[in-house]
Amino acid sequence: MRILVVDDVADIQVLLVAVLQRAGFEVIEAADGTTVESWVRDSRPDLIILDLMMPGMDGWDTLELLKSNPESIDIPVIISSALSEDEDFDKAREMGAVDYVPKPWSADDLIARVNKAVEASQQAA
Amino acid sequence: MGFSAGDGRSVSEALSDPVTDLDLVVMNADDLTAISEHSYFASTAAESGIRSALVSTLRDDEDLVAQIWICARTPAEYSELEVEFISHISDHMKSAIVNARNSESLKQLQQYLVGQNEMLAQMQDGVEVTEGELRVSHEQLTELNDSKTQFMSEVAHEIKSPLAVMIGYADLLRFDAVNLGPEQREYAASIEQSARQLAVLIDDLSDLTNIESGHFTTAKEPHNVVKVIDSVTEGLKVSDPNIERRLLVSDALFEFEVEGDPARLSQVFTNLITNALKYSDDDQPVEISTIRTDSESIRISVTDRGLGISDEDIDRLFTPYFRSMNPEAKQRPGTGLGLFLSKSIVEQHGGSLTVSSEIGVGSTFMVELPPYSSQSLADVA
Repeated sequence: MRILVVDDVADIQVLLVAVLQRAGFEVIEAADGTTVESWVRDSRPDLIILDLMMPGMDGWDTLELLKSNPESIDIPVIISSALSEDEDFDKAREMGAVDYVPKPWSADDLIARVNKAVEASQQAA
Repeated sequence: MGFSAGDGRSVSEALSDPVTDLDLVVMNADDLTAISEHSYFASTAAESGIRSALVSTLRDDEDLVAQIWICARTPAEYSELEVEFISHISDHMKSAIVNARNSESLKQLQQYLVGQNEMLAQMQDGVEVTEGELRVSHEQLTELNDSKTQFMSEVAHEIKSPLAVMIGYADLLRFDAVNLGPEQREYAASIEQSARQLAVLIDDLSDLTNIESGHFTTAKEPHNVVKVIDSVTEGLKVSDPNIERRLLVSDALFEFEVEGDPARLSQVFTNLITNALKYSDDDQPVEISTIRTDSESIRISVTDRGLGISDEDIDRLFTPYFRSMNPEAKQRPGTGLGLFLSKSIVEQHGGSLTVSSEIGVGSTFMVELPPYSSQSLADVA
């Protein structure tokens, strides 16, 4: 299972890689939204973990791009962000994200949600 | 010939009496002398050889307006024509003088009114300035309020990123606990605990700012509040085996529909239960019960056998930033915001949050919430 993690903060990237690898996932990293498309094309991830607050192309724009591209539309996206207003949850859901894990999350919780999303997408397939 | 006052009074009386009917008096030398005492003019006239005078007195109501003296050095007799002429002139003079006087008063009145008008205009300007100032102040305050909320949410966001790193790594350390010595495990646990506290504080502060500025959002959906309580207790049990031992759920309802925000209510129950666990010893139980009251509401009670709360503290318990001075209580970390927020949320849901407690014995916090009634929706539809 390959997961693409997108976050501009290096520390969070390293953490995500450690947590996900420990749980048995293969991880690829993107530091901002602009490279996501090419990563998706080249590496075909099974799931994307996406931060929202990023400079340049932010998470919302990236999510929109992912969901409007036939190559990436079916890849489940989990939002991982420090933004935690109800309107953010609603917006993410409306735009097609399958889950939203507000920072700071516990590793247990993140892995549980990743597993849930992977299971759901496999059942749908 | 001569005119007299007609009512038997002497000339002098008539002249100085303001209420006399008669305006025209003819006097001879003797009359003049007689009234010299009372009339300056008469004495002057007599001294300068005036032998007769025709005096016309002009009055405006009771005011003496003027007197016209027509004097002669010879004893004179005035013909009717002459008297009539003088009388006529007197009338005109009186009118002229009275008019002039009135116009003088009018002018004064006018000036006075203009003055008052100017004063009023100034007061009006003053009021408008104050109104303007108030409006500006209100705008500034609203702006300030909004920017405070904005600032708070930006700060909260900035802090959550490094917190995420701390908690995440602390978690990883916990996973790898087998590779750590007992001390390292304690260090890791300590780091995680502090980081989680900080996360709760940040959320509480954000909530507090939002409540103060009126931006506090709560969803409004019907849901089973018992399920919310169960999630909270399960979550806490999973995180700490000791908690699993301590939490006792008794008298539980299976379900109870309320209308509101499950996330916010979850916040309330987490706060009450973690408080109960915090302010009692590690080996003491915390009891949670849910019952249906006589008024068809649900009552959720969280009871601990811990420190208890003094009477004076109870009064201020639900105010922001309140922390007890009781050294036992102070020792345990806390922000003083939890109960205030819990009460606000419960009240927003149309319920109540109360406490009964005894120092050294323990405390029971009770949340009462009204049932969700689809009646209200039916009425709307």
